[in-house]
Amino acid sequence: MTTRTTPRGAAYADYTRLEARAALRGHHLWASVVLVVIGVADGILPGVPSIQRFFEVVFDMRNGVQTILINDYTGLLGVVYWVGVFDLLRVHVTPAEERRLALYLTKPISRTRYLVSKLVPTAAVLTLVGLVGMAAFAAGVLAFAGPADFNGGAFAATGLLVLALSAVMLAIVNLAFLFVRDTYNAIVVASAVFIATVLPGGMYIYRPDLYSPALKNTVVFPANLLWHEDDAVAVAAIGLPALLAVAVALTALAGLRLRRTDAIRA
Amino acid sequence: MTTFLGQEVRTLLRARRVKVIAAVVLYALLAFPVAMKRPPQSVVDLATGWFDGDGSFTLFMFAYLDLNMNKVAAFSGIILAGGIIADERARGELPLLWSKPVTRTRYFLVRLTGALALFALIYTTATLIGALYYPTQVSGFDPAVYLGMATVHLFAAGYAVTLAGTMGVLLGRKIPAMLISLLTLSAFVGMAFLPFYTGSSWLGWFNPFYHGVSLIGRMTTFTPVDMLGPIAVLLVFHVVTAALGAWKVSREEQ
Repeated sequence: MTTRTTPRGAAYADYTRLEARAALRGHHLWASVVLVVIGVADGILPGVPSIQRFFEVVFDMRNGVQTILINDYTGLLGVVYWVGVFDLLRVHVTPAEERRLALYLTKPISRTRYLVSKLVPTAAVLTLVGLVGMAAFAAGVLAFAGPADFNGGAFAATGLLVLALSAVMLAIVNLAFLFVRDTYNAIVVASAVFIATVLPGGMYIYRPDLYSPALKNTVVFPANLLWHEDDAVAVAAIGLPALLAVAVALTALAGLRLRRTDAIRA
Repeated sequence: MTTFLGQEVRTLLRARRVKVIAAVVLYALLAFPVAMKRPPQSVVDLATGWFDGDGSFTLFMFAYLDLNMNKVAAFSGIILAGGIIADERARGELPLLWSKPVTRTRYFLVRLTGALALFALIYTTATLIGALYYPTQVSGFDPAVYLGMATVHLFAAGYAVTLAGTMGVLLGRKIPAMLISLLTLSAFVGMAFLPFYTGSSWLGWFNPFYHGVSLIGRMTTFTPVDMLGPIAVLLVFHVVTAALGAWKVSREEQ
């Protein structure tokens, strides 16, 4: 018989702490730097007449601030999503690929605890990265375009909506990753989710005639968030809880699936 | 060595991820005319202002390179080449591998070449299908201009493979390497046309994806000789990047 040298709860607390520490990685610092660079670089865009005209003509942006913000929000979604994708590979895909998964799954740690211990700190770090980005965006807008057309409340609401949308996309990817056993196929899956989100916005440039007003307001991301800037706080008040609930539900499904994974064949 | 290269290409051809890339490229190629059926006049005017040519075919080439091929290239690159040597390290196979009669530099370069060859095969096949299919779909489509621009662009799109392969050995671990490759390639792709929007060509000097699309500025006038300049520049990008990877691999510890 083995003797337990530490009480069960303390061992779990150690494990949770180790996962929390492992969730913060060097690339999060780089991702924050990239978002700051995006915040500065986008600030220059309205100063280029042909770029400002493009966003006015194609996406109906009313002023320089909106031109900056449409690019900022796209960058925010792209960076947070892709950094999150590579963080989520650590849950199932990389361990499966490197033949470590069976070892993890046979430890006396419940599957739920395994998942939660990895996901909660990752979500916290990604939120932090996103907030750093939003601070840089706000500074970029104020520095380059001034406060006249900048609606702080709408900006905060929309930025958080973009982060919540990333959370839903990442929850989908996290669930899908449990069915994938190598990095390359995982990236294919992640690309599909990303393309499905941004393609309607790209298509809108060339075929606005395909979109009914309702469809346009729903899928032409992120321009739709700027068209309804005046209602952004109200949209966020409903949208944020709804999106987060979807993300949590999808994560619960992932937990169910992970509990059914056969440890011996993993 | 040609045996090794041949086997590498055959192995890749069997991989599911390669079939997925081929399917995605083909789907994007065939579905693309739908996106370009009725562009708004204002967008056609913008493209005519930035680039060269008579409007709808210019816009078609811009969207084809920007919306389709550049994005496909960035993902294909990291999926095809992101794990060269990093995969073997993660699986603990490196000591076995380095005990074989192949130098590390050569191993890296052969696998990179294999990935490039496979990417070129997919890209060329797609381009040839496009050359046959688009004349029936796109008004004003000029197959010669399309083939010329696609030939130059192949060298830029392939740079995604070289960059991802080199980043994998520079960083040693696959996940951060693939992430940084993807962010770098997205930045390159996002800024590929910036010199045209701003009128300052120096903004594209260090961006391989600008050199890959630069002919769009003289679409109606370029000759085969004009293709050589961008191709030569892109080859320098490939050689310098791959040499950096080869140098890093040669200095690896056991």
